[in-house]
Amino acid sequence: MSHRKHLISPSLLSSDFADLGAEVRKVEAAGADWIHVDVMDGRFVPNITIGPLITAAVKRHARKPLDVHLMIVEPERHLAAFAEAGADLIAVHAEACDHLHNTIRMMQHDEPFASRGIRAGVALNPHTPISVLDYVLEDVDLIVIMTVNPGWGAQPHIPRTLRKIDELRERFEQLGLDDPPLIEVDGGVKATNAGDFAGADVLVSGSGVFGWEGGDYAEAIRRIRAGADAAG
Amino acid sequence: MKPLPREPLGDAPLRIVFMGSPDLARPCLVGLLGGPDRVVAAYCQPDKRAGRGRRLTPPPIACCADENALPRYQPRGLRNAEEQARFAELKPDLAVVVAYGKILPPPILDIPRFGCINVHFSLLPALRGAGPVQWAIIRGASETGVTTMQMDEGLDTGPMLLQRRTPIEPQDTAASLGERLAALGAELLVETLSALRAGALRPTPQDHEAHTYAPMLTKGDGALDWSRPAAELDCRIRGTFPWPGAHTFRDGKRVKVIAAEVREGDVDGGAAPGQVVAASKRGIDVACGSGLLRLRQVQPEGKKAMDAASYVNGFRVAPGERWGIQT
Repeated sequence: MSHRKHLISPSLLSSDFADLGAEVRKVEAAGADWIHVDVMDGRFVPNITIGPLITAAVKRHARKPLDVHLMIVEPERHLAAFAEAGADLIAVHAEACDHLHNTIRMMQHDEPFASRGIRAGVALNPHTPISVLDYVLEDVDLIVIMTVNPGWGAQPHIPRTLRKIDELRERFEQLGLDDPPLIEVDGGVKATNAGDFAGADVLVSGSGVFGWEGGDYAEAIRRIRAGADAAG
Repeated sequence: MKPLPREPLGDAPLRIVFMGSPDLARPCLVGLLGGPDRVVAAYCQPDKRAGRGRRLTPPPIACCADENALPRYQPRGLRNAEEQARFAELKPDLAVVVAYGKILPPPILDIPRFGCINVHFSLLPALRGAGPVQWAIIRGASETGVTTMQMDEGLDTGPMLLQRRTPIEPQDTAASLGERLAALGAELLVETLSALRAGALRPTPQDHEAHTYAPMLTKGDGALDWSRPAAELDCRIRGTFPWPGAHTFRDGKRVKVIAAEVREGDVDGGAAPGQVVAASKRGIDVACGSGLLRLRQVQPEGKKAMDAASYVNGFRVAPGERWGIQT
């Protein structure tokens, strides 16, 4: 278990897409640490959401870091566009990359990434074991554990995926990592179950924030944070 | 040392690598993030095991980097070629170093286009080293400050850029003074960078003859020697708060002294240093080499901190007993 303060990254997937600027400002004022942007291409996942253009529009309203989750095939073809759109963290799916090590290196050392100080992340679908990361753990800045099958919001989480958090912590210890990557969980996080996700550093929550009854995002974020902090 | 610009630079933001570890460095990093330049990475000390359960605990700057999604590096050392290559790949125009807690080897100093600028929490050349905030108080200085300087290979020996002063208040502890200096340092850093961009920085060499050292504190630095004057002990108590904390011994057991005050007026000449002259709910008066020190808040070994009244009641302190003898 690490001893970090939990960061909350509300996912715009469950926000009002027709009023994104206002939603971003509102959720930042409510205490969001990062803003989570879900990019879906209709191929890696069945659904289609937004691309670099909308991401850039979001960036114009955001002051907090943009945490961009690419659920797309061949992400290396589009990475530069998202960097230029203002992403601060970019996570690609391990399942979507044939040359994951190279993709991570590119995001850390090549342009247009290096000059922007972008953090490179890798996401794992529920079925993917953490062992796929064995040879990139020293390089990667963020690991996203999918606790649902990506594609839609408001799904219940799959509890056994949470085992990966402890497995990852063990690997960090074995490798003696002095600067371990952050662990993010994505899927099914809400105020009533945030404690289950306390082993992670970053909690993504879509409907858990934007679907809060009465629209009090601050209350939703406060409860998620408190739930996770109390448990971990 | 890399020369600083003599002419104004263009509007292109500078690529800055920030290096710092404790809370003291946080205002400087926040200041840079709010400025016109681009912080491309933050370096800090490795996560350490701390607290109950010996959990891996990141230094405050690591958390600040995470909150701002900055790439963060926590190498154990910067002497190996791999770490130096990684640093070089960031293509820094400048490194800003604030209480990083690691020596930068010459190859690192030479990588950034304009070298490395350090924010040091003293009025250099006074108080070089890792404990400038604490030693300024312990040594009874009436003022201190912050200095920005160009880093060279020595320990805080580089040419100075800008300096700002602040008085040390009679109630200041290392915690309160540190907080003030950290905020002052952030202002001075922003000022230093805007002068650098304007090509207006003119480094001044330090007067090396006049330097003093402020080494990293050890637990031993918190030991109270009752043969010293009361005013000096008061400085030591405030200068070592909260770490390592001042301590004395009573019946061979360690007692931390958290807060005290110097008692004005004449002292009974017969009391030996370390002897308790009076113990009441107002405090525990201990005779010093000269003057009296009234202990207001103490912490016995393995217990919570408490005010003197609770200690006097709970631990039965009687006038005449001798403190400070380690058996």
